[in-house]
Amino acid sequence: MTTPTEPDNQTPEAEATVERAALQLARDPVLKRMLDEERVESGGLDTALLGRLLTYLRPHKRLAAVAIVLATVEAIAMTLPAWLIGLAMDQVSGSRREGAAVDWLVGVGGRFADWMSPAAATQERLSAMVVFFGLLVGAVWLLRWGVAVTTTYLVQKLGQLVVHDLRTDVHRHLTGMDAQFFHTNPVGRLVNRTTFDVQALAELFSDTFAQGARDLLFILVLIVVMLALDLPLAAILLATFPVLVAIGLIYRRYARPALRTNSAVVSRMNAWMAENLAGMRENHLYRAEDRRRAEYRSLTDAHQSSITYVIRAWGLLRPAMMITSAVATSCVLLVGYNRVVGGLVTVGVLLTFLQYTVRLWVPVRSLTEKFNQIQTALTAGERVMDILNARSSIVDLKQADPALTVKRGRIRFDGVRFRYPRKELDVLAGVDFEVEPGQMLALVGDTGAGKSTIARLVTRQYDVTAGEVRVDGRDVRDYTLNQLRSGIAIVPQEVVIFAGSVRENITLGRDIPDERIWECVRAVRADTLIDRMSDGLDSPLEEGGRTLSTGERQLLSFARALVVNPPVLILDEATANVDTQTELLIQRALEALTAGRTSVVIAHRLSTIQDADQILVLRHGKVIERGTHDELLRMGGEYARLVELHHGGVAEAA
Amino acid sequence: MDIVQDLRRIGAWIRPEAVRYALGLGSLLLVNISDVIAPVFMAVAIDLAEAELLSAAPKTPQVLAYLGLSSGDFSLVGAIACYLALHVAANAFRYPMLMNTAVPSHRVGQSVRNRVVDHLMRLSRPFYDRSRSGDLMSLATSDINATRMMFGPAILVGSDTLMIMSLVLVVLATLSWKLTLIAMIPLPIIALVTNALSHAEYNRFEDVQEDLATLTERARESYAGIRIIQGYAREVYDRDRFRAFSWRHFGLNLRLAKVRAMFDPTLDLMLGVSTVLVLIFGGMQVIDGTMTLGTFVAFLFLVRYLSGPMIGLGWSVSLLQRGRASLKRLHALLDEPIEIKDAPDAVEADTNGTLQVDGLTFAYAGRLDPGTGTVDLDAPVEPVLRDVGFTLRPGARLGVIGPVGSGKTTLISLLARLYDPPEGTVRFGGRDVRDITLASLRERVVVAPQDTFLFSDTVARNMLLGSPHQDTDHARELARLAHLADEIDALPRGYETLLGERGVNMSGGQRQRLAIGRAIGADPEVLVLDDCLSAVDARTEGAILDNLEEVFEGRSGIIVSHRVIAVERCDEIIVLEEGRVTERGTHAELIQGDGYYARIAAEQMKAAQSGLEEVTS
Ligand SMILES: Nc1ncnc2c1ncn2[C@@H]1O[C@H](COP(=O)(O)OP(=O)(O)O)[C@@H](O)[C@H]1O
Ligand SMILES: Nc1ncnc2c1ncn2[C@@H]1O[C@H](COP(=O)(O)OP(=O)(O)O)[C@@H](O)[C@H]1O
Ligand SMILES: [Mg+2]
Ligand SMILES: [Mg+2]
Repeated sequence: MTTPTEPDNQTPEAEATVERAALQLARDPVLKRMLDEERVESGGLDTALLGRLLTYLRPHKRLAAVAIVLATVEAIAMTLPAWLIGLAMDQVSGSRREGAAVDWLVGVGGRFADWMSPAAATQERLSAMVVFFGLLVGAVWLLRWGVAVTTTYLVQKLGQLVVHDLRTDVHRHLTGMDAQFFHTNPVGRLVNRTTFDVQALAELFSDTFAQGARDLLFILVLIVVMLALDLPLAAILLATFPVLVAIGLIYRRYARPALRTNSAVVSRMNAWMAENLAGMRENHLYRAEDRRRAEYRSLTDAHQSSITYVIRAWGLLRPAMMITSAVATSCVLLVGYNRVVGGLVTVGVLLTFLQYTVRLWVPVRSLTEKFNQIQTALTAGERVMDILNARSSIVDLKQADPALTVKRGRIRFDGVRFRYPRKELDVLAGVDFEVEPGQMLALVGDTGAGKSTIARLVTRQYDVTAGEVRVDGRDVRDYTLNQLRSGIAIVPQEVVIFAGSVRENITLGRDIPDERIWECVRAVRADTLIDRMSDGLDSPLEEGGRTLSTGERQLLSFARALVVNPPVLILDEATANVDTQTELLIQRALEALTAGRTSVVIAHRLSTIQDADQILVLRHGKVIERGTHDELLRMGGEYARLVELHHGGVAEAA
Repeated sequence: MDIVQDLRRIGAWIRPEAVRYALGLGSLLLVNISDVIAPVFMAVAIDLAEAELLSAAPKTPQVLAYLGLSSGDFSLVGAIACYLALHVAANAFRYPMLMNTAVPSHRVGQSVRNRVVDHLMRLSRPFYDRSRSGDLMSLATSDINATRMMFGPAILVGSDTLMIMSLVLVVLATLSWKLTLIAMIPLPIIALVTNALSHAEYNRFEDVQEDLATLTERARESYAGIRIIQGYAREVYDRDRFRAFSWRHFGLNLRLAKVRAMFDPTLDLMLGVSTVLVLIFGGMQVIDGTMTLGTFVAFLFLVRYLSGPMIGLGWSVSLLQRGRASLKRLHALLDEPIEIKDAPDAVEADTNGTLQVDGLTFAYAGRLDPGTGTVDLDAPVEPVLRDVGFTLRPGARLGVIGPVGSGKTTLISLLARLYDPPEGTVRFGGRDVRDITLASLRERVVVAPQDTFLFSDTVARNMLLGSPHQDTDHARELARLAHLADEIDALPRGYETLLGERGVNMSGGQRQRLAIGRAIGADPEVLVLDDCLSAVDARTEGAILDNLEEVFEGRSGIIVSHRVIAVERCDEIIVLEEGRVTERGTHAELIQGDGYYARIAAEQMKAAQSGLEEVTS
């Protein structure tokens, strides 16, 4: 699943038509990507997948059992009214019918009539019987209502429970994946797997399996009842099933790609809208308004085109099914007439059959639609299972000692070579260095030299290809990931701000007293910022921290690092986005930040690293110079050139 | 009054589709007529059967009697053929009915969408400062949907209800008006129950949808912020947090499930009540001999046509209520005045005009909360710019330097008229920018913003956003100037790589360089760079500044920065502090002073000096 599927040419004809029409109208690369990514890869039912999905029902066995029993009761209750009405009819028209159930019911009805109007005329007795059957039908209908409400609710609950389990499973699994996985999978795709695909699977459980089972049960009970009532009439109705199913399948073929395309277009339209609201300033500055209008118009055209296909399929399905059932009704009437006349069945039975025929297409239609859902859900299921099957290559090794923690913060690289997965070139080609506890190491070099890669190896986002990374004298693989990373705080260039309060953003959910938080906030000079907000530490921040300046976001991320008081601190170009004044503030904050702990500082503002105990200059994954600021300047090599470049203009003018 | 206005609006929206609607509703009428009459022939067939069984003359259902026909006129096959023919006819008309109502209603929906986007594109910054993007999003999605439902299903089902109700009532009443009245007893209840249920369902569904957005956002955050979550070993916390959100979503779904579970069975129960009433009272009439068995059967089937429309009535009324509210909100948006637009007598900007700012004092409409990002319109505001002035002649370059919050970005925004400057304070080519057409002004003055926004589109299309040339070669040239070419070539699909959520994420430095390329691509006369070199490394910064010499050939420029190195080559530099120009002059002049400029210049070269002295000594 790591590679997006390229459009394949073997998609069914109908699918291609709708999609092609929509894509031609939309002319939108993102929509194309969406359709390609969400394309149904496999046709058949994957039973292994089904089995695995069913395991999600296991924790809710009891609920499932109750739902199944209730659904059976409901199916029986569904068929009863028509049968009772037919029976009542027979009482009225004076026809006799055989059968234990019939006799018993008629007996009860008789007693009811006796009680209502003892020793009355036959006509009044008959009326009493009609009232009796009417009340009975009413009672059954009430029962049916109760059972239906309960079943539907339980089934929905079951489905939602499964979704919740699955959703948290996917999230748990994904948050344990390694950096490489996140490098190859765009966030949007992972989000889709976690919410929408899981949701589609939920529908498999709550709507498809459960409702489908109900429809099937209803049809089965119906068949049994019909066969018990009259064979030839039942045969007529049974014969219409294949026709209804065939119509359903044809519908499925046309509606499915249309529905899929339409829903992709709708989500693309929503994404387009969200994005253009966010980027409206750019649209205005670059006079892109007309272009955007045209883009959106194309999307609405694509929407109209695909929805028309959906409506057309729907507009043909229903009439086709209703005509089929009208034909069946006619046949039942025709044959039933002759059988009534021949005395083979009563008028009541005929009436019961007529009521069944007009209802028959409803469950078949809904089953047809279920079939669509099953396929959509199974594809979604496959994608979700792919995610759950993906294994992280960075895991705690067996030899890892859970008690081992980072204490002093000595870092050592021994002949470290590293190559990113599926790449041909070594990004680090033999790097050696050692940082004593409490010292500051600075990494300098051009973009792409391998500086961030070194930082990633220290926290074991990747494992070295050759050589060894040691922290406090132990290989990083001897630590559990949790312990290793708890001892090393990393501040990246791209600050992450979560939606939530300022406090949550700083503590990341740890229980830390306010005094300590304020101490850190003041140390990194973020106090004035927080003072300007309405609720102090409890002020809400928007996702991504959109409303803060980059410098302000950076200050918060410093506070976040400081608050855990880690033995090792890594700053990866953390001062890149701030202005000189803030940089000055940060410079002071940095002293607070790095005091008494080991630090690795990557900076393109060389001013921040002059006091480093050791500076490594990297080029193409090799250390080409090392020493202190003064030593390196004296050497007059690459570092000196960088410094000159950096300050050249200023010094020149001075 | 209100209703009249709403109806006028609805009328105006659907007028272009009036013919289609008329066709659709016409087909609907035919569908309904055939549908309602068909069961009468079933009644005939049953009466024929009973008559034959009892060897009596068949009774005639009243409807036929009114038409001057009697059951005796029909053979069984004839009756059944009529039944079938009517059904086929009814269903044949269903297709044009749907195609001429549902399809045009979606078309109306598209025109609402396009109108909304047209307007959103024209509304200006002050409006966006005031509004929350979530509100705008829900206008553009759920409100438009609700309106579409009003134009489509509500109208269709509403008309269906009215037609079928009158038809069925006519037919039933001719069969037996007494029984008709009795069967109608539950109908008002059905309408009320449906209406109440569908409102509850809608509200809960909206809650679920809203919460789904939150949940999705949470998942997105987890994955986008995975470096921090894993880097600080906070996976467990994040999982618990997500679990809590997921559980809340579960609860909301359950709330929805409760209404949904009630919906169909409850309506079915109403049908049951009608059926029971017909069974009891109709049955008695059959026993009395006042009603034929066939008529009774027809009744049983037609009752369904009564409760169905009642469900429809309740439903469509709730759709109408919702649609009306949504339409009102949409029109409030569409009536939102456009604050920044061409003056009635606006003219094109001169080419190569002088940009002149004079006594510019400017205050925003409200105060910006750094936490939520919303503008509080009631809070007292201080001017952000006070008496700012400068002149930028064609080909000249101006540097603007100053601390965060000093008003640099505000000044820039006023030049491109993202906000309107006070009259006469900003002139281009000697003419007040407020008298110049927006299009021509923004064609000549182009800003590369501080935190630029990249669209989920290809690299090339992002780069060429404002460019008159749309070919990749041009994008390549821009990338070279912005010193981004190598990095773009290293992307999986080069210039065709998709950016954003579904594609590649760019780093801050790359984004800034893309913004520079984009601005150059717009080929402006005045190129304004708002602090767009802060996240690039020194070597790249130097290279871009060198390239800019080439770019500034034949144009004027404004470079906003907080780094001296970026502005030192400018012809004039102004220092902004708290909205005032506190210093102005060339680099050489300013460096001699003892103001802000000299101070930060000293800070920034402190290291260099100590180092370089050693190197050169
Ligand atoms: N996840 C990755 N997969 C493959 N290549 C990568 C990955 N991350 C970085 N690279 C490549 O490795 C090289 C070094 O990158 P990096 O360590 O980030 O450099 P620096 O931080 O010095 O700018 C670059 O050429 C970059 O393109
Ligand atoms: N849209 C806005 N509404 C209200 N106040 C704003 C808005 N944008 C910026 N401000 C305020 O104006 C002042 C100047 O901001 P800005 O021009 O962005 O400064 P600079 O670009 O120099 O950092 C700040 O106090 C900021 O809070
Ligand atoms: Mg890096
Ligand atoms: Mg700014």
